[in-house]
Amino acid sequence: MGSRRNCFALLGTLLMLTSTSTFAKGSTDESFDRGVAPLLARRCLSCHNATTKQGGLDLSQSVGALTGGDSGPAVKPGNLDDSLLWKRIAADEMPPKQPLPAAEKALLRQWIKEGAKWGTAPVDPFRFTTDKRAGYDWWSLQPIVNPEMPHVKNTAWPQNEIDRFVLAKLESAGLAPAEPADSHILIRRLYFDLIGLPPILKEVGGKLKEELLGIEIDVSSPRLSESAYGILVEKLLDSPHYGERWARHWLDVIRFGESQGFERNRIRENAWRYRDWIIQAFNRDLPYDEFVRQQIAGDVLYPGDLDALLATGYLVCGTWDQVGQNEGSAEMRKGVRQDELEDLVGALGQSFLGLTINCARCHDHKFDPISQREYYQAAALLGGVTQEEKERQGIAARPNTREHGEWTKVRDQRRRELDALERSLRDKYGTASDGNPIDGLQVLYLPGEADGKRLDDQSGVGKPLDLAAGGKPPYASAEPASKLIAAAKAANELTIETWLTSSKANQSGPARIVTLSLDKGQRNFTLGQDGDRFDLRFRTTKTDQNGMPSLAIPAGQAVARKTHVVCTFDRAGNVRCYVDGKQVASRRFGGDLSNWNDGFRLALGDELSGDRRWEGQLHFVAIYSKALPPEQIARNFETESRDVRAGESLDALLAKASADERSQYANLRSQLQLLDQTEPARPFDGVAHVIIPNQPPVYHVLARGDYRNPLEVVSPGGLQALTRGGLSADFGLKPDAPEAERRAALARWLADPRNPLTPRVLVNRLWHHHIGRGIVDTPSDFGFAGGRPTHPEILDWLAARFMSGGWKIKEMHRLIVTSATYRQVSNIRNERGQVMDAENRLLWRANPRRLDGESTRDAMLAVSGALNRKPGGPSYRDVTVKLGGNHEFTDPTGEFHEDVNRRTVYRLWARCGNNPFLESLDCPDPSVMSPQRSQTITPVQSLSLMNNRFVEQCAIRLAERTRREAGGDVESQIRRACFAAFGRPPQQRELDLARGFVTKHGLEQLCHVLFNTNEFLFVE
Amino acid sequence: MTGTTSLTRREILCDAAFGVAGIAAVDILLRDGTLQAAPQVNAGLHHPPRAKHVIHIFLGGGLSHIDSFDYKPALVKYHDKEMPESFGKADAFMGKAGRLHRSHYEFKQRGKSGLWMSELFPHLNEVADELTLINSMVAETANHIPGIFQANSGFRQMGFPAMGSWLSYGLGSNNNNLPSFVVLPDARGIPNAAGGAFNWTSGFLPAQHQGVPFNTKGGPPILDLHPASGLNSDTQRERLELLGQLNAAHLDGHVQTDSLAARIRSYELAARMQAAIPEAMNYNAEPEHIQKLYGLDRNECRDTARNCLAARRLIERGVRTVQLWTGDGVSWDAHEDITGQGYKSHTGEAKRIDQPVAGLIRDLRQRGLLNSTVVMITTEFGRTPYAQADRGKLSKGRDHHPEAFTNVLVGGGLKPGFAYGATDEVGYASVVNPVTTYDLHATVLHLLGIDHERLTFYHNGIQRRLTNVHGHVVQEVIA
Repeated sequence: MGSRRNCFALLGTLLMLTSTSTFAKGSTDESFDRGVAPLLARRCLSCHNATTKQGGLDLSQSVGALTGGDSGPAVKPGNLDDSLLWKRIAADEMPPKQPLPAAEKALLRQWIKEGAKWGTAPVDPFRFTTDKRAGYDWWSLQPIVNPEMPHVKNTAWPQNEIDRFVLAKLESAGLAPAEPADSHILIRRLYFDLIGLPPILKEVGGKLKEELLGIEIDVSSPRLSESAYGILVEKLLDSPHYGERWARHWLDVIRFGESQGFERNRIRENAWRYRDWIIQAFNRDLPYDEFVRQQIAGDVLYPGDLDALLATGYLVCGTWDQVGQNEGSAEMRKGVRQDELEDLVGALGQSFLGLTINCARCHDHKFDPISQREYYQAAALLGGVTQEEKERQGIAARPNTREHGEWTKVRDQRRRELDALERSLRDKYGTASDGNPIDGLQVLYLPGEADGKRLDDQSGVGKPLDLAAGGKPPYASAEPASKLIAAAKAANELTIETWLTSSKANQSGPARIVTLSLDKGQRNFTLGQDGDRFDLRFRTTKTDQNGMPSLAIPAGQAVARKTHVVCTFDRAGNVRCYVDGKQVASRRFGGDLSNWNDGFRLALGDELSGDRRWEGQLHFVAIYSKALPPEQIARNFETESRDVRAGESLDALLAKASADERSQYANLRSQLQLLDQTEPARPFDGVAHVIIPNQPPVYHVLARGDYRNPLEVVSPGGLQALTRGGLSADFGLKPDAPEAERRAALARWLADPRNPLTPRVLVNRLWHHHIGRGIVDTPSDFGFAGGRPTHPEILDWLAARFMSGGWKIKEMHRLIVTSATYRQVSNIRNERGQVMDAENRLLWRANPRRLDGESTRDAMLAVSGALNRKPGGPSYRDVTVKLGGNHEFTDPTGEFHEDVNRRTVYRLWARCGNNPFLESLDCPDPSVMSPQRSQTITPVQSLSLMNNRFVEQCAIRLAERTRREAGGDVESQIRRACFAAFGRPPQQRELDLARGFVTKHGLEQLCHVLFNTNEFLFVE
Repeated sequence: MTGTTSLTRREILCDAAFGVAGIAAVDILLRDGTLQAAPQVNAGLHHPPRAKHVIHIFLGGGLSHIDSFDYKPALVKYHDKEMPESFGKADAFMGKAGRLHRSHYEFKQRGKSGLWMSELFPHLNEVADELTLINSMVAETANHIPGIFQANSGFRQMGFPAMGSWLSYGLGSNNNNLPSFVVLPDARGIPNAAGGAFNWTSGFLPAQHQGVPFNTKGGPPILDLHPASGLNSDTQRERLELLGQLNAAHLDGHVQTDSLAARIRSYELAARMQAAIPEAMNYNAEPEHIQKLYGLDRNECRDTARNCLAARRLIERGVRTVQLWTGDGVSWDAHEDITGQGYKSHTGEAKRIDQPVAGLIRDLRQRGLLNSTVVMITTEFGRTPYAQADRGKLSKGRDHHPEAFTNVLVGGGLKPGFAYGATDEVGYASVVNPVTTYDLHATVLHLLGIDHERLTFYHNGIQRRLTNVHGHVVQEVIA
């Protein structure tokens, strides 16, 4: 439920939660320090401290209390009646509005009566933990101590140290651990945990082959052997998909987004390089201390190292209010900058330290020992950072252009071969039949195939708009092009796509190629040729009735060869022209299509008035009520637009083809797939979204966090709370220290082995994702308001082991996933466990989990065989990015093809860049840090899983694949589909249910149902 | 936990899709270990409520208080003069400040209550006796987006839960077949210029409290309501049957069944939603005189009329919060000409909403629903009493102005025909009883039976609230 509120009542004693201190009896000093001092600190010092001194009174030290304030001495030792402090408190005048409870009054009374002995002066409100807040003695701030191994009775169960700690707790609660899960459950759990994908299992000759890793899995016994399990773990950790999985978790923690947010929300075109850096860092097991240092100060610590520079994308991946920072009044900008610093300090503290330093902007932290001054010290450390939209240019490139060039050559050759094969298959086996045309298609003509009297509209969409052939315009509709005009007006978008060969370069008029118009002066649009350039006149509410001014398309494009020309109009009013798949011109016309004339006719090759004839050959004309995205246009160019119209699917054609052709086809496909997945690093263009540091001004403490109220100057520095292990909070920096020194010092301080939080927080994150809940169940908050550790010993043992082993994250994975704790079955009846620990905090079984949004989408793609495993590079876009007025926004396109069927981590994660399918599965917007995902179950989510086009497409692909692999026998098909989805054969009852269903509704529908089952969507 | 309690608990978790689990009442009871039965969703969370539903009509861009609800006769005297410094410093968000400009519309006292209102909203004037004006609003920013975020979520930053999400979390829903927080964008489109979906995000609250934006442009009311491929209903039904059978078999073999059973249940709810949503959105089912009351027969306001009528039908069916947007989210941003007819003018925008909103208020009243519904008509900030500078000319536009503006509340538990707070002589600053957005949110929550300081959710180190660490209930506007 996203909340950490759980029933602790029963568990409190069992878990021995590190908790509030008690007022110990001891020396006077100590009783003051532990009793009276915290009381003063909590109740009085926020107004009566050395800085604020309200009423002239400072109660933080003995001298202040004795001297008193404006009304006279506050405390007379031994004399209650003359102690103003006591009189005001006894009369409930102080603290204002919140009189002290009787017990606290009694404590103060006693103290004054006994002589008001002062302890450690002055009172440090942070010294001790109280029942209201954490002090310097708070558990998470203490140095890491390698704990003693506990004694356990059942010595056979533990596989490693983790298990001994878990078992000791279980045994003291009288609970027994669960047995290991069956292999098919355990393998599935391991796959999702380590690489975020399910095992893709297939039965081949009585053996199980797993496709993703290309390995055989022996399931002859229900339990995997120890060595087989170990090998599997290593293979998964070695898989490039491992980094993709775990990078996503880190990107969640730090609110990585690829647009700036707020009003303008500009897309950050090069933010993906940081995302790739994170994936690579996980894959090559970059030691975590280095991982931390490079993200904070890679540019400073390793000057000239591109890789280290890319790591600083961390600093600039949050939100940025362009209007507030650049466009508002000067006063406003100062305020907004303070808001940005709060966001930066918040991300820093929570991601690496699990501390909400940001909560101390306006006052000392309410719960943790962090002063307001320390907040500004931290802000000063990051004072050179802004998340502005500038991209760093001219970064030195790595020389890898040749390798990439070779690769491109080979890939293009394969593409051409595949293209030729597809064409020949279509020629040989194709017949006209139904199918799905490209979304938005309204009319489609193939003038080359016309019979001389009529040119049929072959779109298969709506009422055909056939053209009469042979008249003054060579082709013209007899009626107004109503279906086209209505659709375009409704969508407020349009695309005109043609393949043509112009006869000559000196045509004028412009000569009309495709026109929707009345005569030479009135039109909705006309694509024409003027000299050797194409020309587009386009009517919107912002252009005149002749569609002028026209779009200027560069000269030299209209030449005598077969050319692909596409013009689009999008809802934001942008008109674009593409020639041979590449954009050559664009302009914002503005306006919309609401004033299009409903009575205009469509003509090809001449104006309807017959006086603007175009000379050339038209091969293909398609018009869409949609602005086709650039990727689609490029694809149409590559495939010569063969897939535009309704036609038989390639699978249908292949079914009729010879075995030889089929294998030739499969071979080419797999070669291309392999090539795509092994693309060498693209030539670096020298641009990245990384830190561009500025020398910051001198920072002050700001009263109430307001830039208008500066108090004392601060130096960049760390937290007093983390000094117990000998780590200094003083970085030796002056208030005006150079920017580079600030971040370098911060980087070293964060990754210092004496800093207890950095390793604790990280190993807890790993635990959280493997076990389903952190040892501390608030992974980004190790303070007083966060959760308490259920197994503090494991946390420290792992943290110590982590550092001594060189901060290697993969080693932590190994330890956790090879533990018996991890391998327990989740589905087990244990009455005592249920009664004593229903929330399973003691880990007497594994926790089942619903798949997160990314895993759901990736799993559907992988299982259906549609997953494009290409790693890295620019983000795929399943949205169109539009410019509306002055802000960018995105519209989901619902596309389904190789370019977008990549792993979800490669999606363009624009802020507010919604993908409703992923949203319904709790994928958070990247505006706030999300250290843990919700796992909600809602009817909107079920509607999405049932009805969203994506799931349907995956079901279709899975069915196609299943038929291909299992042949025509329904039972074999069901068996194969069940293996694909669940990694197990169907049970008899399932087989019986499915057989009737498939016979009646088809295999696609069964696949669709499988994707909706609980078994598919949960990891046990 | 005892066997019986855990059974009850399981039942309640099974109803996660009901919007019951994951709401504050249940969270609190679970935490206390005292959960025995499903809480009553209409009892209010902390005290008996005065209202059960909210309809929030948001006028993004900045409604000029001086031209609508805040009568400033002194501006006639000061017209075309520099603002005297005694009122404050004439700062401008964009460009430079111009000279003072009197109201662009004539003011009169309206109704029996005699509220001063301009002629900008003639139909609303007719229901003046239902309105509660807060003339002394103040905002924290002159920048649209942070201001709009704050008006909707209490925070200037993005990503905090919207008020509708908090109400959903705090109170749940009265109808399991409809989302508890529905957003009706203007038919002109999603208010992307105002930050779009950030304004109805559930932020860190569970996703079930997210505002669900309905499609108001024609076509299915929500995404994925029906199969993308347009499957026939037989196949749909049998698909669900098979899914139910496979899930039931799977469930049989399991011990921990809370979330498995919840998913099974959520498909049943989804199926009911498929029928309930189109039914609720079918304003054609309304008799002609009701359609006319909202102005459905008039071109200039038909879109908003549909949304207002839909809002009534939705709350009638138990939806907790309905939020209506106007324009692209900043369409009241009249820098150039308050009196123009088009986009970013007041005259033009007012025509689109005036009759529909007045019709909604009358309709709620005649059905007795106004007693249990709070209608909010709000904006993120006001507009300057001085004109937008225009090279020496006195322009007809006004700039952003956070120091003073007016919000309007109507209905459940409020004093009708009542104006609260006041600005200075020229409408520059709220000087009598200033009211912040936090106060407004606290007041609305109070009317719904919620103590704004006690409706909290833990996130990243803090028990978060709609009202951050601020806010006082404005008792004076409550009847």
